[in-house]
Amino acid sequence: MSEEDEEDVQRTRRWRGMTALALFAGGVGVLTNRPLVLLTAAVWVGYAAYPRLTGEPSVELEIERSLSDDAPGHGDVVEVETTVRNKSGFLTDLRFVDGVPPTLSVAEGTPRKATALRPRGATTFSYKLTAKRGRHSFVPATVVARNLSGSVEVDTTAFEKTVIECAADIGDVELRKQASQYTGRVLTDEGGSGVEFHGTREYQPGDSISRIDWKRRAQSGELITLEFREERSAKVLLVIDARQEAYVASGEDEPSAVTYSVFAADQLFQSLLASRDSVGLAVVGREDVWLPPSTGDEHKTRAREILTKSPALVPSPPRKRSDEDMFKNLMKRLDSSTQVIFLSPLADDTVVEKARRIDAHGNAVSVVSPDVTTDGSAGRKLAQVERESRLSDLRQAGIPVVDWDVEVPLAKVLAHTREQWSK
Amino acid sequence: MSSRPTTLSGILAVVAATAGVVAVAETQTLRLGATAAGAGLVVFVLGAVLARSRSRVLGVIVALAGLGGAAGGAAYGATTADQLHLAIVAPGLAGGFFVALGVAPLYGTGSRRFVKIACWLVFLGPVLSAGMEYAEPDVLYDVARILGATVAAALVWDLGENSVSLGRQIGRDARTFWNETVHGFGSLLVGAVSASIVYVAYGYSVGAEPLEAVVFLLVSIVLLVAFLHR
Repeated sequence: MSEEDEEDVQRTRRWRGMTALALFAGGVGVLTNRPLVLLTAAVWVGYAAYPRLTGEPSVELEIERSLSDDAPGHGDVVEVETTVRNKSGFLTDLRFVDGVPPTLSVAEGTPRKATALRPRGATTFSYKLTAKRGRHSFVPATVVARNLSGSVEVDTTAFEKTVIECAADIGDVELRKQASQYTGRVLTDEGGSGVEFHGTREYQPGDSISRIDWKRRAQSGELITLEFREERSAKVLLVIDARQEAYVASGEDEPSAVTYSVFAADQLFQSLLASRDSVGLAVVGREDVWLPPSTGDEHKTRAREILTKSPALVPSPPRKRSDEDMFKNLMKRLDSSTQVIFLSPLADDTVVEKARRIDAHGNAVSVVSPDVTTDGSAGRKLAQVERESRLSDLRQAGIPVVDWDVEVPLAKVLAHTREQWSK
Repeated sequence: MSSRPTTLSGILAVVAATAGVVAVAETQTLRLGATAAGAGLVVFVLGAVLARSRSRVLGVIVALAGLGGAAGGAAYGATTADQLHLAIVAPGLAGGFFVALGVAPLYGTGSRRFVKIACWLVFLGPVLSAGMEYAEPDVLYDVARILGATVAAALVWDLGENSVSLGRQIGRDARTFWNETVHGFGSLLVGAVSASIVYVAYGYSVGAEPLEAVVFLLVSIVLLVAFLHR
């Protein structure tokens, strides 16, 4: 698929000097009465006319990229093979700079190529990128085409959607005990069918025969039913904090906490969905985004769309502050069996307060908090201290918090805190 | 990315400058000296490329050897030729040095200005040769020499400029072979065609056409092109 942006056509004026040389040679030839000098002028006239003979190139390209690995690990080298196919006429001078994701760097080779392409001809070149954590989309490739004489230069772009997704596999997400009525992997404190022993009770009519303690029956004649801990699936709502306050970053060119939250949400979403929990997504920020908890591939696609394209999650902060109504809406939408995972840098007290309120309301809350604070000035230190006190507030309220140092893969942090979560 | 001039066009521009000089050289020794100088300049450019891409020490040694060879060739030509003969080839030889400096990956991204100066200097060769009547109007071999040298001067500019511009946009590390080949072939073809037309037309009219008619024809063509270029 190719997409042509507006073309920028310019004259390079590289043959401009030829007329001057033709006039000079002609002048000298006439003044000195030398026919041979005049003849050289004729050659220059030919070159002066050359740019007139070659028209403006029309450029239509089709790009294909193949990646040696489209889901590499952090630091892996990915080989990109780009094929450029000419869908227009003869391109005598094509200069192509591939749209390498701005967040990745070229490890080997060069993403550039200059060539000539006949109609329907194709050229292939490859280079290597070093993968970094996150989703990296290729940007439009820069295309410069000149005509044969080089007198006209067309600058345009060609786009082909390619994504390198470098995600650490985060495995199972440890959830709190709140569960839905469906069978799944959350161990409840309720007795029933399952695998982990819970207790025994007197047989009641209707109990499954397989759960009768037959050993006891043989020994003493009592009819006792074994109870196991019920395993149910969870219903989880991921709430991304994308309010103006959440757009904090560790430095000017660094990604904001929201970017990390979105990344974490994507990871959690995939992982939870894979373990057959139903997952929903909500964004508190520029606009109200709400995807009720559900399962299935279509649901996964919809969540992807939101995470990659929603205007509520763009990298720049919203201009105005979000109002409190968004949290109210959120609470209204929650049903009693849904648990909530907040993704927030905890840059202000609002999230702490809301998390505690929702938790008290009966929905189990957990918080994953990307840490973008840094040492340095007094102001930065203060922010760091404030955030830490918010973390401890939450923990005191019985809300598990994952303090995520963004330099460390989320999977590692989750594994590390898993024990605390399940307690 | 290294945005220095591309190698192929750069080398070909130096070769074109050398060809332009050799075409207007009058004596065997001058031709030999000019060829040696040109070869030295090619080695110099290759040495500079080598120094930038592979081994710095080896590259510098090769580049210096090339420069030495070029200077030696020029000096050999200069000491053996008589002064008027030398005056015809001197600008072209200087042009060779200029274009080599303009496209060698020494500093920055190459120099369009040096390439342009080189084109003018090589251009002077055939004008001087024909102007001083070393190349005689009624000897067709001389006519061919002059036209060839003129085409060479145009190629110096075209190939040198392409080398610099490709280097700036795409870089020397990228594969650019077909781009440079097709481009160079295009301008060579234009030169060959216009020179052939002139050669054939002139060949038929040697001694027959009065100069004034040719003058009139050329002036009108030049005016037409100048008008088109406005």
